[in-house]
Amino acid sequence: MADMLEAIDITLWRGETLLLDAVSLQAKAGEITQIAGANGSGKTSLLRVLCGAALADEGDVHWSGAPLSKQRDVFQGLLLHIGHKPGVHAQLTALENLQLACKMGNGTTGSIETVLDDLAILPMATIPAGQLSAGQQRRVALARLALMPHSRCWVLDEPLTALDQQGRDWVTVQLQKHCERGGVTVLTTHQALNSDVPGTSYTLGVPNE
Amino acid sequence: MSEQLTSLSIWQLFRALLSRELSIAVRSPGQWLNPLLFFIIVISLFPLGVGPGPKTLAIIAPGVIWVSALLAVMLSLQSLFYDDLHNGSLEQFALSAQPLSIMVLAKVFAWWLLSGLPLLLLAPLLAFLMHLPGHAIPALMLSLLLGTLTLILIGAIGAALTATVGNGGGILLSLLVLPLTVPVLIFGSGAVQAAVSQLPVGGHLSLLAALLALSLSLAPMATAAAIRVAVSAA
Repeated sequence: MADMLEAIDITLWRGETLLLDAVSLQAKAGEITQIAGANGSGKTSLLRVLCGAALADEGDVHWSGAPLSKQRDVFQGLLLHIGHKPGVHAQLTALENLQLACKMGNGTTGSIETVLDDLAILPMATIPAGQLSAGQQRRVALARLALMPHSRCWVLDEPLTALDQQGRDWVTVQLQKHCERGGVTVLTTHQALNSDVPGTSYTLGVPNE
Repeated sequence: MSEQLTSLSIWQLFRALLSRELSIAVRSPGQWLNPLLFFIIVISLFPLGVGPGPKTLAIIAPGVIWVSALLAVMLSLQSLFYDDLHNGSLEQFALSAQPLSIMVLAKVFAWWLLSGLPLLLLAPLLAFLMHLPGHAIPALMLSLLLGTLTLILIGAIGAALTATVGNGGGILLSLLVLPLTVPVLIFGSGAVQAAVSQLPVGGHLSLLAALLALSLSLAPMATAAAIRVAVSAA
């Protein structure tokens, strides 16, 4: 069976607010699954449930036909998640952050400098990441897209936010390469993707009180 | 530069994470220097408050040094997971394929190297200030060696559970963790008191070593579970 990440009737409450009401989606291999919606509609929460960082109140998440809860270790070995928070420590340099990320995710440490050069942040690679701009920190986080090509499932929260046109083009190329390799991609974005890759879009509604 | 897929052994992963923690700590020394200064200041104030009489100070010295060490460790633990939770690193660790308990062990050991070990090395100097007899110093250092590691391991569980709490996290951490640390305090100061009275200290130190072994085997898993809860709630 081809890889597929599937949300089945995900319901999530945040306090008294029903954030996600029986949301279902299918993210297929070789396609980009885009989740749209207004601010506060639960896009980030849905992504966190999809990658296993948070639990849904009701519903289930399946990877390649089997519940995620029964194959968490396998799924986490195939997952690349870049969340709303970049996962970049301010006291460490871009190089140090990515070296550890590669070691944790079985990435290719040998090509870090090449990727940072492609992202135009190589000159800043050895200064603490806290001294970089928000866009540059975002680029450090996104560099993992090119460093972990073996990850078969990408879950990306607003990957284009804080990026200039060059950065957005670079991300788009990485998404296309990932889809060509037959990878699964789920992402949220407020900007239209300038890509020829086939995809599906889901729009989340405003939560009810 | 050649591309190479890195597949880490547990030991390599531990070393990589330890190196990360030490690099961060060296660049933000306030986190581990403040508890050390607290330890020195509290013990230094006792001769001024109680009076400089050597006999009185020698009697209270084991308890004073041990209580100060316990509070200094608690003071430092509040920030153990806070930064990593708020910059998203903890979520990355929790969602990686690597064992989360190894990350916990690396963090705890780095924390001990930066706050527990200096505290241990400063203890003889402060024991001298408190007129603790010289023959009790080895017992003091051994008890602190075993005790500080145990305290940090136990405290890490509370630090992970309270990482999502804002300003009140420190108080909640103390309420959660202090009751669990009472046996360490009792056996630690008991070992030093026994050494002062020239009684055998083997029993106290054995119990401290047993508490360390128990913490070492259970605390990393408990802390990893608490981190998953914190990441889920963040």
